[in-house]
Parts: sequence; C-alpha cells; structure tokens
Amino acid sequence: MKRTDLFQQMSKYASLSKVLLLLTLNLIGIGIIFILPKNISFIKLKVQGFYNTKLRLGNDLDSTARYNLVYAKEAAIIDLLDSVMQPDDIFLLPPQYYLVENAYKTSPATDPYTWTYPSKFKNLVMNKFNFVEITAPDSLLTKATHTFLADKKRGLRLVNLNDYSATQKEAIINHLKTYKPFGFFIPQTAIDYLKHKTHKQWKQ
Amino acid sequence: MEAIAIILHIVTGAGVLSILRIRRHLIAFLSLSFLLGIGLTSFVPFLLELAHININKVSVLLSMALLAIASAICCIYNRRFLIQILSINNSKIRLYEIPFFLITAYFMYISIWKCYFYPNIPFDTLVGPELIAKATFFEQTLRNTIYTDFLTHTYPLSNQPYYAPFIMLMQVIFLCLGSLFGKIWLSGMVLAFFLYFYFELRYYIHPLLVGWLLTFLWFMPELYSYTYLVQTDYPNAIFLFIAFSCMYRYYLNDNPKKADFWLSSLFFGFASWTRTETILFLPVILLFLTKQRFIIKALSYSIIPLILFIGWNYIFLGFIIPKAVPLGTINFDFSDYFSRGWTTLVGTHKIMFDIAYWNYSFILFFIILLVNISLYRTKTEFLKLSWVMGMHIIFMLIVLHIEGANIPFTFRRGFFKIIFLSLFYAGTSQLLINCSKWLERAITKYL
Repeated sequence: MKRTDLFQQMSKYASLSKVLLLLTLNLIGIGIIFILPKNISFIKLKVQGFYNTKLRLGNDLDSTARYNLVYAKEAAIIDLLDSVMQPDDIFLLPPQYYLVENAYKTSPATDPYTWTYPSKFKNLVMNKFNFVEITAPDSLLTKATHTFLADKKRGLRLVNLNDYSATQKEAIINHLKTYKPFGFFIPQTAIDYLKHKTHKQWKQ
Repeated sequence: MEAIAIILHIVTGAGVLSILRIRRHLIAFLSLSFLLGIGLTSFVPFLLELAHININKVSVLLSMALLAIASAICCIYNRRFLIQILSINNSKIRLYEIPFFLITAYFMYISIWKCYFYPNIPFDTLVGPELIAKATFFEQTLRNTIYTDFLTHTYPLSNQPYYAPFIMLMQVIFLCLGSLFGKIWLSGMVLAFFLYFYFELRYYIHPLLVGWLLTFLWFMPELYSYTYLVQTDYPNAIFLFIAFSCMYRYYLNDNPKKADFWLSSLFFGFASWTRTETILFLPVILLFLTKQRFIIKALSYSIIPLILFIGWNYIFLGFIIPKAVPLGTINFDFSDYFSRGWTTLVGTHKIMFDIAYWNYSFILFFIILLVNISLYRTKTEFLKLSWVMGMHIIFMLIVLHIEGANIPFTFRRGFFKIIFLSLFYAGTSQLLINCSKWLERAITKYL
C-alpha cells in the first residue's frame, strides 16, 4: 500500500470514529435530558397521551365528526335552532347569568354556557340564522321569535315566543334583561358565583 | 392544496432571499424562505381588499401564484447564487446530528396532526381572528358585516377582532384554499422556525450543544401547546426572533451587510403585523445600532414596522372599517408606583421560573446567562443581555400602563419572545463558543 493511501485510510477511520464518538455523546446527552423527572412526565402524560388519542381516533373520522369532538354540544344547539327557525325568525340569545343561575349543574361541573358569548355564538352560527342579544334596543327584542327558557326542574327549553301573548313575551324579555349577559369563562367561576349568589338587577 | 401553498411560500421567500444574497445552510435557507414567504403572502387578502377584488379561492390562489412567479424570475436571475446554496457542501448534515431531527419529528408529528385534525379552540382566537376570517371567507371581503354591523352593536365587546391581522389573514388564505380548519400553516411555521434556529445556532457553536439546547426548548409544556393552538404569540415570537438573529449577524460582521439589516427590519415588520404591542420593543433591537449614523439607521429600520403598525391600526381600522374599541388605553396612574412595580416584578418572575410551564429549560438558559456574564463581560455580551432584560422591562411597563394587559395571560404568552432570545443568548454566548472549541479539540486529541 502506498504511503498516501495509508494516510487517507487512517484519516477516514479517524473521521468515522469521530462521528461515532459524537453520535454516542449526543445520544447520552439527549438520553439524560429525556430522563429528567419533569421531562419524562411531560412525555408520558402529554405527548404520548396525544399519540394514544390519535391511535384511538384513527384516520377515518370525517370533518363533522372531527368538529364535534370539540363542539358537539354547541353544534347540537345550533342544529336544533336551525331546524325549527324559519328564514325571518330571530333567536334571542339568553344572558349567561340567567342560564347559570337557573339551569347550571355544578356536579359534574361543565362548560358554563360559554356559547352565549355573542362573538363566539356568531362564529358558530355565522349566517345560518339571525339572532339578537339581550342588550339590543326594545324595538329589536320584540321581533325575537325564539329563545331558551331555563328552570331547575326542566332544564333548558327552546320556546317560540310567538306562542305567548304580547304581554307575556314582554314579561319574559324584561325578566331576561335583569341578568348580566356574560361573565363566566370557566366552570370554577360559575361554581364560586352560585355559592355566593346575589342576583341584582343588571344595567349596561 | 396545503402542499401547493407551502411550495408557493418557499418560492416566494427564496426569490427575495436570492436578491438579498442571504447565505445560510440549505435547510436554514429553505426554512427562512418559507417564513419570509408566509409573511409576504399574508398581505395578499389585504391587497386584494384595497384593490376591491373579491377574496376567494381563485383570486387568492392566482395572487399567490403571481407572487411566486415574480420570485421565481428573481431566482432564475440569481441562479448562480442559488446553485451555491444548493451545493453539497452547503447541505451537509452529519450522522451525529440526526437524533435532534428525530426528536423534532416526534414532537412535530403531534403538532401537525392536531392542527389538521381539530378545529380552533382558544377563546381569543374564536372571538377574534377566526370570527373575522370566517366572515371574510363567506362574504369575500375584509369589510364584512362582522366589522360593519355586528361589532358595532354587540356586548360585551373585546378587542380580539381588532388584533394585528397576520393570523386572521393566514386563516383567510387557508380557508380560501380549501383547508377545513385553516391552521395547518402554524405547524409549517413552527417546523421552519426550529430548523432555522438549529442552523442559526450551529453557525456559532458545536451542533451537539445546539441539539441539546433545542431539545430543552421542545420540553416546554406551555410553549409546546401553542405549536398547535392558533394564537398570535408564537408566530410573533418567531418573527421577532428572526429579526434579532439577522440584526446580530449585521452587528457582528466587520463589513455589515445591508441585506441582514433590511431582512431584520422586514421580519420586525412581520412581528408588528402579528401583535400590535411589538412596536414598543423597537428600541430594544435598535440598541445594536450603536455605531456610526445611529439616527439615520434607526429611522430606516423603523420604516417598515411603523408603516405596518400605522397602516393596520390607524388607517385600515378607523378609516376603511369602523373601529368599535380604541387601541389599548394607556393609563398614567403613578400612585403606589414602586409597590405596584415590585408586585409586577415578582409576578413576572413567578411566571418565568415556574417549572410547570417551562420545565427546566428557562432555568438552564438563565444559569448559562449568569455564568457567561460572570466570566465574559464584553460589550457584545452586555448588549445581548440588554435584549433579554430590555424585553422584560418593557413588558413590565406594558402591564403597568396599558389597560387590559396582565401577567397571567399577556406576559405568560408574551414570555415566548424572551425565551427565544434567552436561548439565542445562551447559544451565541462566549461560554458555549469556548465549550465548542474545547469539545472539538478534546475529540481531535482523543482520536
């Protein structure tokens, strides 16, 4: 073997050894980072949890099913309204405080009607049907045709306001107007509120 | 269609980078091209609106294609430069670097899946950017009924619909292109950012150290969540980081390249286009312009960010569409200032060192920062430290003086910016540069 070939061969081995040594070092370093207690629990509880969810859900869910994984309840409410309302009908969006005070179950604590936040409701509904907020002028509120009424026994009920007399409809609207429209983003704030509830007349 | 969009973003960015002659490792070049392309493409719906053209699949796709064709012509014109970028020497990855890319793939896979699979969840996004994006998609105009009718009457009204428009415009583009939930662009940004970050730090220190630092970055639970939850903060931190990294190259170079300066300014503009308060951090980045003709350079640098800031917040909102809430009210309340300032300082530190949010990572970056500053007290190290500290101080002032800004939300997510900068500080520190040299010497000696 020529002298230059020998040198080339040696430097090739040295270079390969260097790469393998660095690879070993890298794997040891990364292994140490992985087994740090907080890091390993992050992998096990969160990232691996997502991998398991993905495996469970598979690849066959269509767009509606995927949407309903997050917004099943909201989609059900909107589908119900969409099915009963005519193009000229108007839905009166009930105040969140009214729903929480009259129909919220703290055990198990669920979403405290956050779909009643007008911008969120608008996002979910878009152009499917018209709705009006409780803070709108009376001239608009009297045109409302549907709303949800709530009580502890029967829970939420979708009602057609045109089934009521003008005086009854006005009384319903006036009652809803006494509640603050929105204020709870998470269950705990609704639970805390119900513990120390003091219903006061609300004015914008 | 999403794949076509990604290719168009890369071509768009590559054209501009080839004009500016920005040299990076091939993967970093492609990542930077994508991020630059996505920033530039975000203006498409906005420009269509100004030209009174309906925003729909045809107009968006055609505009993106035109933009990409214009950039492709630039690429052809600068083909010699691009051939150098594509050369084997500029695209080498060594075997021992592979583990980091495998880790990135492990984390990214979930991020991409969640972006593709689930609808948007964050409340701020639902009632702000996504609401506007959906309405724009259905009505084919940014002057839609949400701005003109709904927001002017609704209660309670928050400022999310008036956020800086980047994520809203990206949602518009991807909805127009047929993406079901839109947000897959976020995963693209995160992947491009990690690759860019890796190769940017590899320019200064040994790849082994870069891989370990960025592995720590993946292990931040709070940060990881926002790789699949669409919010303004992560894209904003990405753009801002690139602005800072380009500015650092500009500063370090004996013959400063104007291209680095303008690229930095452009990315700072994108950051202001993503979150409005970014404009307040402008003085921090300008600290590196301490050489000659500071005022002219500072003014030149500020032009793009200021145009985008004013263009959206004071011309489009207000003149072209009605604005129902003012842009963050400033409060000049100086009562109990020191006590409130102290509370803010303590509150921000609690977030910064909370391992439930960041695991060990920020503590590690902070330790490197302390050791480095105690060993190497050079001007450059102090200036870099002033970036991290300057951002923190300005955040505290924002919390103290802007209505609605708070520590649990505004600072916690805004802290992403500081994390990236502190990691950049660690990765470019003299301490790790010397460690890299030592490592290289030790291995050569051993073999």
